[in-house]
Amino acid sequence: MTDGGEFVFIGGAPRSGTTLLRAIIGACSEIACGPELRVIPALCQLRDNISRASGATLAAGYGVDAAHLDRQAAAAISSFLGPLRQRAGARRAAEKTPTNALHFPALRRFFPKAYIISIVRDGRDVVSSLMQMDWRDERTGERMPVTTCPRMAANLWAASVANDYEMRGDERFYSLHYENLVRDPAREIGALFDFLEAPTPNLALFHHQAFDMLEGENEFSAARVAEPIDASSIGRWRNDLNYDDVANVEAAANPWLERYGYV
Amino acid sequence: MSKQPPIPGSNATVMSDRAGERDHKAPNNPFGAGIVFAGGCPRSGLTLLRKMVAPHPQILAGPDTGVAPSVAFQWKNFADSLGTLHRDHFDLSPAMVAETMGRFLAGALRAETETRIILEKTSLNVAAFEALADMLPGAKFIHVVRDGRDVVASLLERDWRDPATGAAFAHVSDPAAAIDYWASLIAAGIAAERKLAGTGRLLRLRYEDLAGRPRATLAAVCNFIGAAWPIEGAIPPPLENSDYRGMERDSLPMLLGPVTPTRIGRYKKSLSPETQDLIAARAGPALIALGYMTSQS
Repeated sequence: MTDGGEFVFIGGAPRSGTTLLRAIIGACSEIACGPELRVIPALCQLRDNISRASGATLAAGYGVDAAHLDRQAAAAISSFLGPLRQRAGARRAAEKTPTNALHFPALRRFFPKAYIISIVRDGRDVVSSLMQMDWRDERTGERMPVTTCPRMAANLWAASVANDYEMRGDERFYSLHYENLVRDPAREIGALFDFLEAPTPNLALFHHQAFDMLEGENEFSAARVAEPIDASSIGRWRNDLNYDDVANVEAAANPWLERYGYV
Repeated sequence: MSKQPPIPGSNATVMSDRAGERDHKAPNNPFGAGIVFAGGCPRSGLTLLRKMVAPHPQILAGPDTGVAPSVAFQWKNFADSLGTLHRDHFDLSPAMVAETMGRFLAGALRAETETRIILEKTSLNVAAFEALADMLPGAKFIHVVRDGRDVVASLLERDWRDPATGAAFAHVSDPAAAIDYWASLIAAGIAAERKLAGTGRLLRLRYEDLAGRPRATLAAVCNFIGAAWPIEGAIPPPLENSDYRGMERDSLPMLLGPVTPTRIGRYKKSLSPETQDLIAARAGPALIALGYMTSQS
């Protein structure tokens, strides 16, 4: 059973710079970082649902406890990520799905030694970007509420940031601000690879030269990440959101915006 | 599809079909061996099966967990929507994803120290039998069936309500919805029977045999799942009141008493002639296929 030291989990609210982060980390030859695998949040949720719906029955009727279920989830995630690491011949495998952020505490339970990286961006910019996404429910064809309702988008951002906050103090957890990353990439990337105990690759600053924007599915920032880093998206909400939108976002997320220094 | 000869002394049948043997026969000692999923329409005798099997020292027959359908549907979702991504970018073949999810499920039901055969009997397992057969090549399945008219009579006595609205579910309040519910789950079970025909992995078990010929039918079940019969040595005590959980407790008075066939054919007293005609009109072919009606009835 692995302690997870060979895994790096990346998450953050959608539209916070997670794809940029994966491009930067993927520039390191020691870390295999594919596109979004898109199963880890679902597995974490499934594990959680099983406990909530059947935990008492499993314990009383089958002798299966929560720690045992955690081990099964960890084994499944390891199986999903194993071939990626083997194919690249890399020391570690990194997985970036934004909603990993909603499951950071569970991932820590599963993998005590895994590296967990969170990226936080101004919630107003996140909401502004989400409102421009055309993400649709596959079953209904309708746009997802987080791309049409600023308050729901802000709730998603707040839930992600709340987990970032909960993880503070964990020595294998690293949180960075999108704004710092794009304003001073050299310093931020250096600190990031120090955390990862890996040499900063030359390409990390020029990730766009190596990034394959055609890799993966539904990574809506791929085209943007294939360009050099710039800070032009900071504060975009001032132009994109109207007064009511901003009021809705602040009503849903103001404590976290304040705590993270955005207001 | 044909059937193998009935197991001596029992009407339980293991589905057989030579064509099916090529595709789904369990290899020697595959993962999932030692796990048996029972399923069928609610009120078909699944808890009675558990009551009868649970004292067997080689079998752990626990209460419903709902885990298997959840994991199976999640696997189907991964396979249907992410299969290309996983194959192209993660070197994950469909078989690897199926095995990973199968191992997760098997692990979720079996504690590290547990060596007995696990029998899990969530009724809606039947809707996932086909997926579960792919995920766990060593698992076996028991399709529990009961006369749809008796099932409807029993369903209509339940007070099962939607927790969100407080309204009674249609399948326990409307005879047409109840028989449609039974027929849809029977169809899922029969589809699994066809898929697994000839593999020795699926047993169709009639409630009427379980309640009417319990000893012979229990022998057939044990033979099918690989547990010794007759049981040698001391037989553990039967399940007690506190062992039954959730909706199992709906049948508590019957479960705590001796096995009895008195509920067979109860629909004749419980259902009006109009409701019986409605059932025949909506589910006649399924009732005939299972031997509960003839085309002349």
